[in-house]
Order: sequence, then C-alpha cells, then structure tokens
Amino acid sequence: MEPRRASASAYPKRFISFFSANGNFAQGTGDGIAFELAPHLAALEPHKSELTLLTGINNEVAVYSPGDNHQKGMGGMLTGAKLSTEPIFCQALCDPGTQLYVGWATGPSIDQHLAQTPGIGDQTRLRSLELGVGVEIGNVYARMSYAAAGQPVPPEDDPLAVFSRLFGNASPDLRATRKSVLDAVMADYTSLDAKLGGEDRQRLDAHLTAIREIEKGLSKAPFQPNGVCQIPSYDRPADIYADASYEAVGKAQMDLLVMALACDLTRVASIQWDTSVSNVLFSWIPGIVEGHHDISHHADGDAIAQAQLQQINGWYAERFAYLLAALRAVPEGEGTMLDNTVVLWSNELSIGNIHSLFDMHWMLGGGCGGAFPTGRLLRYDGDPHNNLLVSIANAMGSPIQTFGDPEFCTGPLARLTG
Amino acid sequence: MKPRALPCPARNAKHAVSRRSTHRTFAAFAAALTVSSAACTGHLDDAPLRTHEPGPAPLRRLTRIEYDHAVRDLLGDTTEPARAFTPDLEVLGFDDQAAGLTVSPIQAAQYMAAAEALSANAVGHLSTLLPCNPAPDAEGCARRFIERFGKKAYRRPLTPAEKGTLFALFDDRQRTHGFEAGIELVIQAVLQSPHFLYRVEEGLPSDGDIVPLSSYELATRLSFFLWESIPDDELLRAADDGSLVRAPVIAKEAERMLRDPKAREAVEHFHEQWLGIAHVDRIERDRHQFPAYNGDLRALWKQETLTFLDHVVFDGGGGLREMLTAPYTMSNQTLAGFYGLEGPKGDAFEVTPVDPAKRAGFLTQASLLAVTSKPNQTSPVLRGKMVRERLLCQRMPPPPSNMPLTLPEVLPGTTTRERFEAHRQNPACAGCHDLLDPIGYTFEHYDPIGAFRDDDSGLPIDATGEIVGSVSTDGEVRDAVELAHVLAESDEVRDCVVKQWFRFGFGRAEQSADAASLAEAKRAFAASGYDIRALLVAFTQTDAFRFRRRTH
Repeated sequence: MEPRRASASAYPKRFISFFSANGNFAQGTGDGIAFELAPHLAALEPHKSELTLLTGINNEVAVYSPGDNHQKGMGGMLTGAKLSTEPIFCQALCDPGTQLYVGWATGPSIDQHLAQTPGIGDQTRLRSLELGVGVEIGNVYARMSYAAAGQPVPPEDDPLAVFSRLFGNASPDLRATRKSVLDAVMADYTSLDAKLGGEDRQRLDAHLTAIREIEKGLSKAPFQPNGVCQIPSYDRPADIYADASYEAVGKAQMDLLVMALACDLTRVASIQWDTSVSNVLFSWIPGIVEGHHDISHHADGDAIAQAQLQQINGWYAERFAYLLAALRAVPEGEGTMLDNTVVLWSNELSIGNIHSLFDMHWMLGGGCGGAFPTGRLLRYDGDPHNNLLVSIANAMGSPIQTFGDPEFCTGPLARLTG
Repeated sequence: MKPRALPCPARNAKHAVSRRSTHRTFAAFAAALTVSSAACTGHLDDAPLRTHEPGPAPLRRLTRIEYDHAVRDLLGDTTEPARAFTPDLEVLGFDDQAAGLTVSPIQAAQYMAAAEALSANAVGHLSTLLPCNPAPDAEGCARRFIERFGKKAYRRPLTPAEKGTLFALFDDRQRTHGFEAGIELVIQAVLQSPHFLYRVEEGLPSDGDIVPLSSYELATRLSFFLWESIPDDELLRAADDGSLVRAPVIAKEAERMLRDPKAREAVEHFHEQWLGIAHVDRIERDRHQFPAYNGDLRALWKQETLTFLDHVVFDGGGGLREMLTAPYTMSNQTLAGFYGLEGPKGDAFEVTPVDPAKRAGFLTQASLLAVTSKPNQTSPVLRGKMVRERLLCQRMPPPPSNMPLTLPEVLPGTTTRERFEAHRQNPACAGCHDLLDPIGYTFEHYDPIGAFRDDDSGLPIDATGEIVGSVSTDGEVRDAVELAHVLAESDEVRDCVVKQWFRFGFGRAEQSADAASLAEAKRAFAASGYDIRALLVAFTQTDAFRFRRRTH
C-alpha cells in the first residue's frame, strides 16, 4: 500500500489549527503506512488514509519556558517560543527568582505567521479567522495565537458574530461611510501614537494596525455566493458558554469555518475548544461527574478515570472527524478541499496527570495540496515541534528555515514530505 | 515593598522561611512609612514643599463595562453593546489592567459595529441630544453639537483641529444625506477615536519626569475610578474652572460621587472580581447528590454576596470588619428557604439575620463556598487558596511539573478531611498544602453548594484549622466563623484589601514608587476604622492618583 498523496492543484492551500486540552493518549500502533488507530480514536477510521500521526515529538521549547506546564504548553504550542517573564500573570507574591512571573508568548504563532506571509494572508478578505468554543476568559492559559511577541490574538466565541463578520455584506454606501469615518479616526491614532512611548505605543500601534486592516478589507471585493460557496446556516444556542451548548457552538463554528475557506474569505483559521486546563463537565457522557481537568489529574491506576478521559478524547476525535468530513465534502477540481488543507490537532500537554510536554500527540489531517503524503504514522525520537511548524509553513508556501526559538529548531521535520 | 513569593518549602523548613520573609516585608514597610512621613510634612496642596512620587501611569483602554457605562452616560443608550466584545484580558485577577487592554482586529471591528448601532439609535432621539434646533442653522447647530458631545466623550474641550475634522465629516455627509446622517457619522468617529476609547493623559506642562495631572485628566480618573464611566457635568465644571487640581476639591467630588448609585455598580464590579464569584452562575452540580440544589440558585448566591457587600459599604457600617463578621446576610424568600433562614417574604433582597455560630460575613456565603468546591466534593485546597490569594495577597506557586496530581476519590465512610490529609503525607506536596489545606478545613461545615452540614458522609466534622506562614495572622482556629473573626482583625488582610483596591483602581500592579501612596491610603483606612468609602477617597489624595510619571 502506498501512502496517499494528493496532486498539487490550482486551488489555494489552507491551514487550520484545532485545539483540545489536558493531554491525550497514544494515537496508534505500528509504523509508516502499516498502522492502526488507537481504539479511543475510532471515529477517525473513515479518515485513516487522510491522517498523519506523529509520535515522539516534544514541545521542547516549553520545557525550558517559565510558567506552569499548562501555560507554557499552550503558549509554546503554535509559537515554538517561550513565555516571557513579564509580571502579568501573578496575584501578588511572585519572585522572579522562582520564575513565578509569567507573561505572554515571545513570538508569533504559526497561523499568524502564515496570515502575515505575502501570497497567503493578503490574498483574502480576512488574513485569518480565530474561532473559540466557550473560551471566554482572556489569560495566558487561554491564548494559542499570537500576532507577535506579547500580542495574543483572541478567538471569537460567538457564531453569530463570526457569521456577520464573514457573510454580513456591507452596501457600497456603508463601505464608503466606513472608509471616511475610519480615515478621520486614523488621524487621531497617528498623532497620538507619535506622543507615546514604550508599551503604551505598542498597544496603540496594534489598534491602529487593526483599523488599517479593516480599511483595506473595505476596498476588497464583497462576498458573492457561487458554486460550493454559499451562505451557511447554523444554530446558535442561547447561552454560548453553557457546557450544554459546547457541542452545538463547536459545530456552528466548524460549519462557518469550512464555508469561510470554501468561499476563500480566508486561508488560515483556528478553532480552539475551550482553554488549556479546560474543565468542561462532559455530563452527556454517562458516569462523568467531574470536570475534564479534574479527571485528567487522576492517577494512571484509576481505570474509571482513564476510561473517561479516553471517552472525552474520543469525543474530540469525533469533532475532528466532523471537520475533516466537512472539508472533504467540498469538491475542488479532481479532489476535495481537504486535499488542499492541513489541519493540525494540538494539545498543550501530552499526558494530563503528569503535565508532560514530551512525546506530544500531534496529528495532521489532509495533505496540504500534495505536500504531505497521508495515511501514515511517523515515529520520532524527541525532535522539537518547532520543526513541525517549519514543515507546515513550507507546505503552505512560506519558505522559512527556522521558526520560533531557534535554539529549539533544526529545520523542517524529517520524512514529513515523504 | 517588593512582594515576596511563598517559596513552598519542604515541611521542616517552612517556619524558618516564613519568618525570614516576614522580617523583610516589615522592614520594607517601615522604611516606606519613614519616607512618606518625612515627605508629607506639608499640606497636600503645598506641592512645592514636597517631592511627589507616583508609580507609572500606563495608557488604559476602556473596559467592556466602562464602554457600556460611557455610552449610557453619553447617549442615554442602555443596549450594552460591549457585552458582545471580546472579553478583556484578565491580569492580576482583574479585567481593567492596562497590560491586558489590547485591541485585536476583531475588537476594532466590534468597535466599528457598535459605533454604527449606537449612532443609529442616537439619531432616533436626536432632539434629546442636540443643544440646539438645527432648522434655522444646521451648520451652526452641528458645530455646537460637536463641541458639546465631543467634550463629554473625550472628557476635555476639543482642539480646533479635532472640531474641524469632525465638522468636515458631518458636512460631507449632510450635503447628500441630510443633517441626521451627518451627525451619525460624527458620533461614529467620536466613539472610535482613541480619545474616547483610551484614557489619554499628558499632564500639565512641567519640568522633569513627574507632572501633575490636568483638571480634566483628574476628572476622568475620578469618574472611571468611582463610576467606571465618564465624568458628569458637575465634575466637568470643576475641571473647567481648574479647581479640581486642589486635593480638597478632589476629595469633595469623590465624596459626592460615592453618594451616586453609579459608585455602587463600580464597587460591585470590584467585589465580584476580587472574590472570584463572577462566574458562579456557570457552575454545575448534580441534583441527585444535592437535592437542595437547582440551577436558579446560582444567580441568587451571587446576588446575595454582591448585595450584602453593597449594603455594608453604602448602607451599613462601611467597614471591612462588618464584611467579614456580620451576623446577617441579604436574601429573598427563595434564598432564605435554601439557607433555612427566617424573614424575607418576597423576591426583594433584605437584611436577614443568620446564626452567628454558623455563619459570619461573606466568607461563609454560598457563592464563595460553591466556586471553591468541586462538583462532587468540597475542596479544602481551593478554599485555602482563596483565603491565601484574595485575603492575604499571597500567591501560591503552581504544583510542580511532571508529578501526578490526583484528587482524592469520594469514598463512602471517609470524610473529605481524611482524604485530603492523605495527600499531605507526601513531603513533596506538604510544603504547599500545609499552607492551604488547614485553612480550607475550617470550611468543612459547608458542602459544595454552600449548605451547612452537621456531618460529612455520616461522620462527624472536624473544622479546626490553622493559618501558618502568614506575615502576622498565624494561629489556630475552631472553624470558619472564628477564621473570619481572626481575618477581620488582621493588619495583613487590611493591607491586602488596600492592595487589591489599588490594582483595580489604578489598573496596574503596585510598584516601589507607590510606597508613599499606599502608606497614605493605609493610614486613612485605619483612621476610619477600615471604612471602604474612606479608603477610596484616600486613594484620590495620593501622588499615584494626582501625578504621573512621563514615559519615554
């Protein structure tokens, strides 16, 4: 059996980051094309030939970062960078000597790197799309995307807001008035910016950049449904933050995400299921009476807890499978949109109860326009995950040689491209 | 005054280490007092006689709550559009810290959408917002509107250039779409300007790096500190005539503002963040395990604590001691039924006496007890951590990496205390958990929904506990009620409340340059018998409030 390799196509390549928290289990057995999925990932069987399972890769940079393992696992996951030691997250008695101060990640995340890469982010109305499912809070545990060092990018949790951002077309008159208002406002930002220094200036710069992006978007062609690109329907629960709404909000977000890609409104997207340390109460799984994070702290010998964690991770595998199926349902040339996409499933930890950052359970879905032969399980020996991020960037068309903290990067990940 | 970490010592070393850090903290505190009393020989207004020492004053963006309050006070709009904005980043436990108030592309788009919706609402009742009748002189009326509306929104008179830009925006639009459409764009631009969305401060022209704030900047500081909103007309008048630069005038205004209901909202917002009960309405409990529970109780628990603290601060004795030890709470009929209390007969919350042997102040209210529990059992760890972090202002380090952290199973025939005692047998855990769990055990009479229980799984409850490793509050206590009384008399807790209010009020962590300001606030707090309103007024008199340090 040969690995599956989609042919390069004229369609754009897309990157999606998919996050779930608190560690996972080994994804499968075997090696290369001869592999079996772990039983708790049974939902992914229909997609086996479209997956790349990666074992033996460490979130090495996080091991050496300040912060607790959830914090630095989350911050380093897509940035390949350490957290800063700025005194941002700390109630009081922090001592720099013990590194109890912790700030934001010290570099951009891979999705934002792609969004800022010429030929990728600048080709679409939105450079990137960050979606959340019940994230709500804003701290270092809750951010995986960074525009730059110290600049976390928040996800949008509300499908309704996502919908209007993607598909709420502004009339020509509204676009014109928006432009004149923003022009007037920008003058205020520019003149104030010149008077500020240090962090004040950084904060205002980020705001000014955001306004410039909106203004640029106003002059791009408005959204036009055609072919597979249609305004999607979705169901938005009344309380988007209730645990009972978790599945429905996630489905709505994934439906919107897939259509945003199909309509080429963006080529870079992420979906973040809650935060690191997620304590969603999966009460719809029989027998579960504790939150996810609480269960993840039970010992290996606790068979009931381990079974429940497998069920929770199996539930996320079902969501991942849903996303892959939705991407596959969009035909593109001889293949499907999934062939032209790479979806990266990440977690801030590998094993919850020991907070491990070694032998992470990264998984790829889709071949990124033929860049990655799929249907394989690849084994590594402690390679840093920055290499994986380099390979993804290369596959997407960003010819970088290193990403994140260079101390933890040796170039593209071996064997990933075949 | 640099805060010290709890070093999480091994069990046998902890007392020695805590004594060391005690000495250091006291020495620093004493030094700070000396400096500030030497510096404070003159009257507060005698600026030339003393050296002012404010900490940094970072640029602060309006929080979601501040935005909603500001558009309410500016436009009479109560649609609260900022509730749909990206949540403000939480820093130091609060959502109003300058370091967390960044703006992403999503948020800039949210500001635009909100400005459009708000301006459309506004022109629906434009006559109530206009200072003039546009019929005879549309342009003149637009100019007057820009001047008045702009001043209220930017909290200072507009510069000629600003007026010119806004008028040009109006004029261009009104030529093709009429007066209202022109005004609509003016409102949109003002609501997206950095001078509305940020609290821009330059200070008065002055030599050196430390400059006094202008009267308008002081008005803005006062209104956002005490109202989480923009200044009202009276405050702007005190800024107009320049009188607000005088400390006694600031104090007089602060006292007036504290009598306004808007101050109650701000104080409430502080309380829900300080005590970490903002999300108590999202916790889940199993109704089979807790028959007294239903989901509607959660909002009532939160309302109880916030209403109780509001009552103490504004209608009761006003003091920290009463917050911690009051033999009453605020409840309505449903909530009183949950607690088994007598009194209220309707939906309105009213003063309700509690059994002083079983409950004391906010610490024993269901909101705090529930957020510090797990779905199926209490958590002495979380309850101890709550007291350590929120009342003693100590930070517990995270658990060590790569070590199994297992919650004890709920086993029949064991108490929660017995189960948690077991994990303290491990010396690696004991270092920190000796600081946490013995405080948490004192709350064992309250189950995971905050109901009083006489037994735990049928076994008698041992609610004795101990505070160790604090600066000045160490000692054994019988139960949570006695703990509350001990904390109520602790200088450490008083200092912590000052510190928490400082962070919330100033939007940043305290720094060494704030030593004199903090000492001044603490003295006033003590002199008032620990009255919260007195503390808030005292903050407005400090260097940290009235001066700023230039950044380069």
